[in-house]
Amino acid sequence: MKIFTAVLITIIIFVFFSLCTGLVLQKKFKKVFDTSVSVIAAGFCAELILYFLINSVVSLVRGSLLVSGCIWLAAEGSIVLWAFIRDDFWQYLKSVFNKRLLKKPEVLPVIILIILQVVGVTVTAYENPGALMQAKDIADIYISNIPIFTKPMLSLWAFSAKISGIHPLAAVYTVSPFVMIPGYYIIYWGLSKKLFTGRYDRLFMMLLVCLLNFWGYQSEYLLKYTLLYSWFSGTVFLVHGILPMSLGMLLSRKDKLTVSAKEQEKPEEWHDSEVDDWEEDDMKNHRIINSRTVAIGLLAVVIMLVASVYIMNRKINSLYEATVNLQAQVNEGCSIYEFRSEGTGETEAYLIRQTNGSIILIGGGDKENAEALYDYIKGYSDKVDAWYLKSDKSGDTGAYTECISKGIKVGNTYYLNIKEVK
Amino acid sequence: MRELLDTLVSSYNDYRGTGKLLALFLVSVLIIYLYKNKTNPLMFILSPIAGIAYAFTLLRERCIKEVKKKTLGEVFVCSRLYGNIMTVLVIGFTVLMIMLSGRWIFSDKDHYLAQNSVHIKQDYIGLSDEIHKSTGIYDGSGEEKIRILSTPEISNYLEIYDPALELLVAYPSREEMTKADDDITYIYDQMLISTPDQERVIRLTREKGYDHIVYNSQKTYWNLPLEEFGYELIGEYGDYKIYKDGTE
Repeated sequence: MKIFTAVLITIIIFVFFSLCTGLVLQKKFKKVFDTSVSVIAAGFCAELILYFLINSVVSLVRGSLLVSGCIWLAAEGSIVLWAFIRDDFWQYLKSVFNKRLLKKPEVLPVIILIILQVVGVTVTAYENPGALMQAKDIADIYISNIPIFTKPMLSLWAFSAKISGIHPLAAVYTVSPFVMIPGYYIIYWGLSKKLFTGRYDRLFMMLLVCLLNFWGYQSEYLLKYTLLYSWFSGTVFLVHGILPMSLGMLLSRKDKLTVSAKEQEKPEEWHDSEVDDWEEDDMKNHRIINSRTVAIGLLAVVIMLVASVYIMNRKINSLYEATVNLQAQVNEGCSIYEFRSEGTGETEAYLIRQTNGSIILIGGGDKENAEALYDYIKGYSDKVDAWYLKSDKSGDTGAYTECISKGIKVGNTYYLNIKEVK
Repeated sequence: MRELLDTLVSSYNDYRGTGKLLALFLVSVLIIYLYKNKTNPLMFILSPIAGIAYAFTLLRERCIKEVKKKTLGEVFVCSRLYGNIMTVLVIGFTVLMIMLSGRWIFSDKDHYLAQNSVHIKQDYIGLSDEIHKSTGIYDGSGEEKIRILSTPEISNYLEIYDPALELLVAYPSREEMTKADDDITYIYDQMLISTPDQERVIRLTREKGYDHIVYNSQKTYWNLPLEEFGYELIGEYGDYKIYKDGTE
């Protein structure tokens, strides 16, 4: 019941904060955040960034987790209050929550896929220790009550666990998916609205984003960037939140510049006589493939290649170190080896190499095994500390006698006189 | 040799996926450039996921537009059928490419049905409670730590769940042990096998200041009873045994 209440309250708080913070941003940057979706997305990003800033300051002065959380709640609370007293707020709310969505059944598959992701991460747990360790520090933050500068997201969830009285891991794995995953998809939805005018195109783009996340496991090294493994972390917020949001803002700005450029177009005669600069000419004539974009592209490719070479080189070096130490590690432990007769294929003897390197032999068989057994023992040592023979009969001592005559030194010899009982 | 081969196979599996997403992104950049769209493809370096989704949506959009360009009459019916087939093929190809670019997130290899809201196995939670009960340390602030040697698998879960416990070998994998010294690395390797080098492990554990040993008696077998080394059994939870160093 506590968890359910925590989920409900967290959703309400985040939704309200996103709406109100988004309204503040919309008033300031009307042309960038021109749709209700982009407003909510911006509000979602902004409220989290606000917490990160507060967390940074509080953690630097060694303040308490509760202090950073309460300051954040107070800041957001004042934004909500400011929004409530505005006349246009209720109109704005109405426009956001209008019933048009219900008349578009085609959005249902995307909504279902998002719900499936939320449910999936909530009802399943990791077997992968690497993925589990993403949330490693949250229990420490919760217990010590000190936020960590480099882990603002975990600090936020530790704070939410503190005020709702649940375990911090429950806040991460059971509460946060209901807020973070839909939040990231709202950002992608806002981006799709900037890229496509057609409804079905936007939906298809969203469907592809869902599929890319469902088949999102790339490698152990990319776990911390994978949405459905680390939705609660700051790294995923950067990769799936801030960067797509920045892309959307860049696209808006680009559209704004394009419109302004068209409005301010100069007459051709003036332009032909004044343009000397080859780069400006290049940019004017080749909007996509010009020297600047080619240079940026080449730089990106070079950086990726260098990074790949560096990573592979590191891996090769660690493999080499592992193989170099492999034999030494094998030699350090106690090992048992079995000697099988080539003729019969049966196990005739057991060789035990102890931790200190000394050899013990059990069995041996008859004279036929002598040569093979001698070569086998010589592979480890030319001295056997103790040799246990089944009996003193020639069928059990033949190989032993031959090995001694060939030069194998034996410390102690024991006849076990084992009696087989069927 | 076998260990080397296993390491090579696991390295290949670790890195394989990374290359595929990159390849898919490069294909997307090519698609966006080829369609001479007003959007600069390099902007999508900020969000490769959005870039891939955008490029393949563009591909689908172009297919539909090509269909609509066909003239009316008898040709139109065939064109529409052809166009629909092409669109379905493009969508199918896109979905297949995406599915092959990575692995299913909720695979059985990495996931299991959660037993509780904290996503830690109930056994480990019970074990943590039993450790607190056996040691008598219930300090909620976590300042008084219970220092434990356990197997790496248990250590990871216990350390994440309960900050009052300090585990000697809580590393998710050997690659994460770059800052660990040789002794801890040795202990980690020994605790992975079912018959660890008891004498040396206990000696090193004592040197590091860890005074509790917790292990699963069905998975870890000591050569001699731990009582021979001065430990006393203070608690049990299922197959798990909790020992405290009595020589202090």
